[in-house]
Amino acid sequence: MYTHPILPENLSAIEAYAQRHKTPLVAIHSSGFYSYFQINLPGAFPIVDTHPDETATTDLRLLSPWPELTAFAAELTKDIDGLDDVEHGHLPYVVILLHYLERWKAAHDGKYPATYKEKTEFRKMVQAAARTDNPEGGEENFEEAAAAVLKTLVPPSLPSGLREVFEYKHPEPVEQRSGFWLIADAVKQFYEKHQCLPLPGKLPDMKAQSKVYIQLQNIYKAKARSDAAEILQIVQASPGGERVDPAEVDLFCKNAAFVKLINATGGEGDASISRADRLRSAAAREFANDETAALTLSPLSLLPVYLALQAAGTRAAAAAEAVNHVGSSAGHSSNSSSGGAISADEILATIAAQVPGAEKNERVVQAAGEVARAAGGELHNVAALTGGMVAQEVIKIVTKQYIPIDNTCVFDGIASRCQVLRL
Amino acid sequence: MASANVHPASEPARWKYLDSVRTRPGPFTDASTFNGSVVARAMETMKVLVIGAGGLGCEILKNLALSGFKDIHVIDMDTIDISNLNRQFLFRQEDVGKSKAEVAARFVEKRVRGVRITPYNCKIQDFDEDFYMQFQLVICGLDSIEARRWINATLVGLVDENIEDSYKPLIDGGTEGFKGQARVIFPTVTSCIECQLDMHAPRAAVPLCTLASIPRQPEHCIEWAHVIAWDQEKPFPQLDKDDPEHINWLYQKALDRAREFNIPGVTYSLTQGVVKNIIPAIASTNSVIAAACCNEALKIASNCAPSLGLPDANYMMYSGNDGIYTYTFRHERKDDCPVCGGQARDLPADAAWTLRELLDSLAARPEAQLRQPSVRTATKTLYMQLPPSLEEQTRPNLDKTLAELGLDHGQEIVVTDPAFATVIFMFKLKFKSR
Ligand SMILES: [Zn+2]
Repeated sequence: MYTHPILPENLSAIEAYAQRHKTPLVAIHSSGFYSYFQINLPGAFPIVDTHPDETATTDLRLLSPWPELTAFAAELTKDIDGLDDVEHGHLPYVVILLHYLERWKAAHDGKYPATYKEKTEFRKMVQAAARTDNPEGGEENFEEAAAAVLKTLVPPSLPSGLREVFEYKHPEPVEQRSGFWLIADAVKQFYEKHQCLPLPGKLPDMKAQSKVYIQLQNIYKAKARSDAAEILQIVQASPGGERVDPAEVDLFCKNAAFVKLINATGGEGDASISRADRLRSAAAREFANDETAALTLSPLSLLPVYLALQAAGTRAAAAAEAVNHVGSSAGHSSNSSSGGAISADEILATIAAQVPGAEKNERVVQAAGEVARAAGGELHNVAALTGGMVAQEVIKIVTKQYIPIDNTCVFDGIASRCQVLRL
Repeated sequence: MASANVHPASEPARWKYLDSVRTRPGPFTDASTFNGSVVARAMETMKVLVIGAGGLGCEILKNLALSGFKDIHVIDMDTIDISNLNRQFLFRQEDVGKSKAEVAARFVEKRVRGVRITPYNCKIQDFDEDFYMQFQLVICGLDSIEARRWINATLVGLVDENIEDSYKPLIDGGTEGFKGQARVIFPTVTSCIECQLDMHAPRAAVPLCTLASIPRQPEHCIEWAHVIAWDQEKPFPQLDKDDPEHINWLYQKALDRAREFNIPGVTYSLTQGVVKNIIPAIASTNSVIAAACCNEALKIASNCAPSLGLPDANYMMYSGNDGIYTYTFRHERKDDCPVCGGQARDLPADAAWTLRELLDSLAARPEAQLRQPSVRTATKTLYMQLPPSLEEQTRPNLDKTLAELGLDHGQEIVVTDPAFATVIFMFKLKFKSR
């Protein structure tokens, strides 16, 4: 972890070390009301435990039920109209939906409701099945069922994060891959065979009698266990698979839909694109977006802030280096001189050399003026805020939980907002 | 621009960087309100009140002291607990049991020369309007919605159009895990905390019948122990959520209940979490949110850059779960806000409801959240929580329907709640069309 401005010779020493030891690097730059930090990971960085929102993780498989689930629902609903009010009012919504999906299929050539229109029609069918001649004038479980129609009647698909994992081109041979990649290969095989991911096995709370709910919970859990066992078998049959921890397989199966690959293009393919080229293409993209920002109601890019800060940092580092070469023995503490005032014009000149044309952008000119005002000094609040965000990202990288930024976070303390850019 | 003069504070070396920003205009500075030559002095004499000396409060006090504020006051009624030490970094092992406000004040005073911090080891409700009138800026780092609503109502109440000094900007920070928010309120001018109340919807309550007869989740068993078993058995005179013996009693009860229904997952820490409604606090989020708040304080106090609130966005939402994401937007003031608006707010109801059901809905509705409401119309008292004699007298009304009480569609009712002594909530009944 290092802060800008930094002497070029120190920076190259740090970068060489990080590359040799495959160590993540964090660069931090804070000046006046602006800051950014940049995370440089050594190669692709997969995360399994991404902590998605609780509501997003529901996967009930209503359109691809397995025999035990189908049998359970059929048993509970075989005489649905003969149930007393208490039983009818406590049918879990999963069971209700499975029952009416069967009816729907019978009336629609064996097809599930697929379009939005069909799903809303199906929802009406469920709503109409609720009993209203009871004291409550309705049934909460049927309301839950109707509310779940649009969210849960989704055919299994491959989420983009996992697709990226499946398609990732490995720089290293199979034997040297980590447990993550061995499991990912096994899940890919599982997916190709079954056309669905391993079941996570979590059942959300729903109106039901305790005993019935727990039976249903166990049916989901048992299916999740058997899917995970199948994947563990594939893993163990692959070279190097015997050293993979079964707990790691379980965690992967539970989170498969939310697995994420950070820095995926940071491998060999990306090395051919220079940092300078990436910055220029990011600038072209961001400035183009800004043209239409007023129409799309999206916030303006913070790339100007980044450009101005790093240009000032480059200037300051060069100035400090020049002082060093003159014979000052300041050594590492030479950054005291790097805070020297750099004018807005000097900042713009540096930007012009990096991203030709950007120096004429009005927001870049303003950002350069704001950076010049700070004269290389940090404001305590902006430094504390940036430090807090860096600490948070380091926690994520070390614990491999949640999703770290990819790869640059810019903070604008005047507008009080952040933007994450891939630079 | 950069050639404008720097106006150094009394200790130029220490505040060199701060002064180059706060005493010189930048491209975004509003020239009509900015005067660089008086900024340092103005900030030194400005009285700033910090409410809360916990996770956010420790950060806020440190940040203000290192931002050039010199006359800081802090209120916190809590004492230091051993569990605070992981993130409330102004406290040490030997401080456990002492007042948070006092220890925090002494620590920052010692660390930052020239700063005076006045601690108050008490509740915000212990002070009257005169006390709050002396400050120019209030910053909240609280974990309680009630306290926020109280100070918000008090600051809105202070506003007197004829006294310029009666407008006290309120900066509020809050965190929950990797998420948080920082907002700025100019009382009566911009949207207030009460206007924004529905942004903090309470968690949906579990229906009593689920707790009583059909629990499914470990939380249901814990709530059952908390709400039903405790009341039936009264193992201790009063539930103390910080007493491990009490939590353990609830845990054992919940565990028995869970066994009976075959529900896995009841643990001691889950019990404590459910009962105390614990929001996990993370030091890094506190650092981000407190710094965002104090950054606004510096901008408001110095005018060296536009702050949140005027003229555009007044609310910054922060989330660090999936990358880092902020959403900074303008929350509009509501004309029917019971604190800063003048109109009665619509309250959906039903003529067939009992008064008790109406009161329950006041507790549950995200935009009301009134737990101990007393209700009257312009001419008639419907239900009063206090004094006990009046409570007894009005209690029979609770079981009467709104129709029986003569309340009609469009009727305006007045609601008060002891938690917000100074606020009168006006609602207009809106009956469901039939
Ligand atoms: Zn309001």
